[in-house]
Amino acid sequence: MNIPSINPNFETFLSNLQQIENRMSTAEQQLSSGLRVSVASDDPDEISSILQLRAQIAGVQQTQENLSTVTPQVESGENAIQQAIQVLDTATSLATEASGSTSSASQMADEVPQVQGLLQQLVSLSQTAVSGQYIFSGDMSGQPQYTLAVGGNSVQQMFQAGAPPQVADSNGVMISIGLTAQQIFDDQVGGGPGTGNPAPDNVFAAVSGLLTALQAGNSASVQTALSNIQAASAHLNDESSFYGAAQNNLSAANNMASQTLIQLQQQLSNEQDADAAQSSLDLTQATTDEQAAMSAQAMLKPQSLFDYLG
Amino acid sequence: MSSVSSLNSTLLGASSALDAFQYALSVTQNNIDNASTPDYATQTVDLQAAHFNPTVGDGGGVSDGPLLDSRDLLAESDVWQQAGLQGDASAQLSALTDVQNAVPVGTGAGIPAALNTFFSDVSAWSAAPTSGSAQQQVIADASALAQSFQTTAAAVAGASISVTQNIGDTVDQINQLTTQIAAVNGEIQDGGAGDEGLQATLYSSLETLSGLVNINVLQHPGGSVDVTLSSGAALVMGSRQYALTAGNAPPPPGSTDPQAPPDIDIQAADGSVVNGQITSGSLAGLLQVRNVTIPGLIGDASQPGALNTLASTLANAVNSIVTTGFVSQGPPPVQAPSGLFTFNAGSASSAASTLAVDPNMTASQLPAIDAAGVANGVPLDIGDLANSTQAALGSVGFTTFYGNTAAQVGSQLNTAQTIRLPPRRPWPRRKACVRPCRACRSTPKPPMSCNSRRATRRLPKWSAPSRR
Repeated sequence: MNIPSINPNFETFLSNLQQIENRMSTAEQQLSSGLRVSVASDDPDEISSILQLRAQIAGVQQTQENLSTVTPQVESGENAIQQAIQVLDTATSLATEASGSTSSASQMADEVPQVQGLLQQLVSLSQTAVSGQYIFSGDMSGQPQYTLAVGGNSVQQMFQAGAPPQVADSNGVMISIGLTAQQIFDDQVGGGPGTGNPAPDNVFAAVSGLLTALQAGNSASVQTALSNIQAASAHLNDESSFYGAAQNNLSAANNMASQTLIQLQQQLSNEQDADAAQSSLDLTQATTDEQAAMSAQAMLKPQSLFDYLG
Repeated sequence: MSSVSSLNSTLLGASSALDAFQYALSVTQNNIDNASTPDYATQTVDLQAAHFNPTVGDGGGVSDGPLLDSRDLLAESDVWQQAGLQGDASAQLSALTDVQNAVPVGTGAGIPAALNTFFSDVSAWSAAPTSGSAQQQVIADASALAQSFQTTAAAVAGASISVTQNIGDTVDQINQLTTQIAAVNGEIQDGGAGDEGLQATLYSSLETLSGLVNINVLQHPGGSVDVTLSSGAALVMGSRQYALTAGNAPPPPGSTDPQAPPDIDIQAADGSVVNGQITSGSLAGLLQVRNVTIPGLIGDASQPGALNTLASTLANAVNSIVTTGFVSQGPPPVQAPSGLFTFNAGSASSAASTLAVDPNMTASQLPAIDAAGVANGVPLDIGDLANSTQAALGSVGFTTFYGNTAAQVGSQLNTAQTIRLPPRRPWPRRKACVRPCRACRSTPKPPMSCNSRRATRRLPKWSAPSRR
C-alpha cells in the first residue's frame, strides 16, 4: 500500500474529496433514476420489504385483471339465467293454455314445436360461452356440458362437470363466480353426481316433461309439467341471486384491490423512491463543498525544499 | 609559540566543525533527494560537542555523531495494520460489487421479477383455466424463471472464478514480495546493515505486503527482518523465503455433494492450511468473499447455498401441487405427466444452475383441476405460494428470502465501503520531524517522519552518505 502523496494533509484532502464526490454521485444517481434504492447496498434493511411490496403490487394488479376477466362471465351467466326464466315464462304460458279444459289433443300437438324450440333455447343458454369458454361447464370449460338429444325432445349430458372456477380477491379470499349447467338446468336429488334423479325444479326435465305431455295429449301430465315448470322458474330465480351476489362480491373485490394497490404503491414509493428535493439539495451542498474544498486547497502554501531542511 | 598553537587549534576546530556541518548538509541533501522514495526514512546527524580543554590541548568544536534515522517499528506496525484493513476492505468492495451485480434487486430484474411474472401469469391462468394461451404463457414464464436462476447462479459462479483468479494473483504478489524481502535480508546480512537504501526497499516491500496479508515482523539488530503470518507460519526467515500456495480445498469428511464447488485453501510452505491465520489484507478480503459470501449463495461442500435452497424449495412446492392436479377428470381422470420443474436433486449445490421446466410437461398437459375437483384449483394453489412462507426458507416467502440474501451481500459491501474510506489522519506523522525543532533534534530516535514514505516506487537515489 503506497501513500500517493508526501503530504499528509493532501491525503486527508483527497479522502474528503472522494467522500464529497461519492455524495455527488449518489445524489445524481437518485435524481436521474428517481430511485433511492437501486442495488442492495443502497439500503440493505429495506430490500426485502421493497421486493415484497413489488410482489404484492404485481399480485394485486393481476387480481384486478382477473376480476376484469371473470366479470363478463358472471354478467353473461346472470343474463343467461334471466333469459332462461323468460323461456320458462313462455313455457308456463303454453302449459297453462294446454292445460285448459278446452284444449284438445291436436291443439296440444300444435304447441309441440314451440316447446321443442324452448328446450333448444334452454340448451343453447346452458352452452353460453365467453371468449370461447363455456361458462357453465365447470372444470371442462372447453366444451358444453349438455346438448339436445337426437329428436329434440330431451337433453343429453356430455360429462359430469367438476366445480367451476373461483377467483381470489387481493387478500386471497376465494370468490365463487359460477355454477355448472347441471346446477342451473339439471338439478337432481338422491344418488351421487350424475346418478341422481331429476329434482322437481329441474329445468330441462320440466320442459321435457311438458313436451312429452303435449305429445301424448295428456292434460293431467301437462298440469304436472306446469307445476314443475313453475318450480324450475323459482329455482332459476334462486340461481340468479347467486350471480347477483357474485357480481356484488366482484365489485367489492375490485374496490378493495384498487385501495390496496394505492396503499402498496404509496408504501413502495416511501421506501424505494428518492426524495427529489432532498437529493437536489444534497447535490447542491456537495457541489458547494467540493468547490470550497478545491479553493481552500489551492490557497495552501505549496511545499518547498525549505520544508525538508533541518 | 602558544599563540601559534592556539591559532592552529582554532583553525583545526573550525575545520572540524565545517566537516561536521558538511556531513550534516550531505545527510539533509540525501533526505531531499529521497523525498519521493518509497519508505525512505529521513536521517539526521547527531552533532556532538568535542572536548574543550585548552590546557590539555583540546580545542573544542563540534564533530558528527552517529547517523540516526527516523524509522519507528511501532509506527510501521501501525501503518501495516491500517494497510491490512484497507486492503481487506478494498478487495471485498471490488469482489462484492460483482457479487451484488449478480443478485439484482432492481425493478424488472433477476429472480424477483421472474417470480412476479410467473405468479402473475399463473394467476391469469386461474381466471381462464382451460385457455391454451394462458397455459402456454405459464410454461414460458416457468422457463424464464428457471433461466433467471441459471443466469444468477452463473453470474455468481463467474464472480467466484474472478475472485479465485485474484486470490492466485495475490498469492503470487505475496510470494514475489517475500522473495524480494529475503533478497534484501541477504544483502543486509552481507554487510548492508545501516544502509537506508536497503531499509527503504525492505520497508517498502513490507508495507506493500501488509496490504496483501497480515504480517508479523521481527527485526534483527542488523536491520534484517523475519516475516510470519499472525500465528507463526513463516514467510521470510533471514534470506530464505517460504512461499504460499493457493488451491482447491478437499471436500470435508462426510460431504454428500461431490459436485459442490470447492473452497480455496491457502497453504504455507510446510503444507499446512493457513486460512485461519489470514485475518487482514487483500487476501483475507478475497478469501472472505470466496469461501464465505459466495458459498452462501451458490453452495459448497458443506452448504447448499441460498440460491439453490430457493430454487429447490420453489420447484418442490410447485411440483407438489402440479403432480396432484388433473388435466381432466375424465372418465378416466388424466393426471399431470410430471412436475413443472426439474433440477439435479443429487447435488444440493446445483439446484439453481440446473433448474428447468420438466421436458415431459407441455402446455396442454398442465393440470388446472385440483384433487378436490376445483376447475382452477391448481393455479390458485400455485398462486398462493407467492404469499406463503416456507419452512425450508426459514419461514419466510420466496421473495423475502431472496431479498434477505441480497441484503446480506449489500450490507457486507457497505461495511467494506465504510472501512475502505481512509481515516482523516491515516498515518502517525509529526510535522516537527520534517522541519525538526530543538526538542525533536534532541530526541535520540525521532518518530517516523511524514516524509518517510513516498508515493512512487523508486529506489533510493543515494545511499548512506560517505564519511569524508
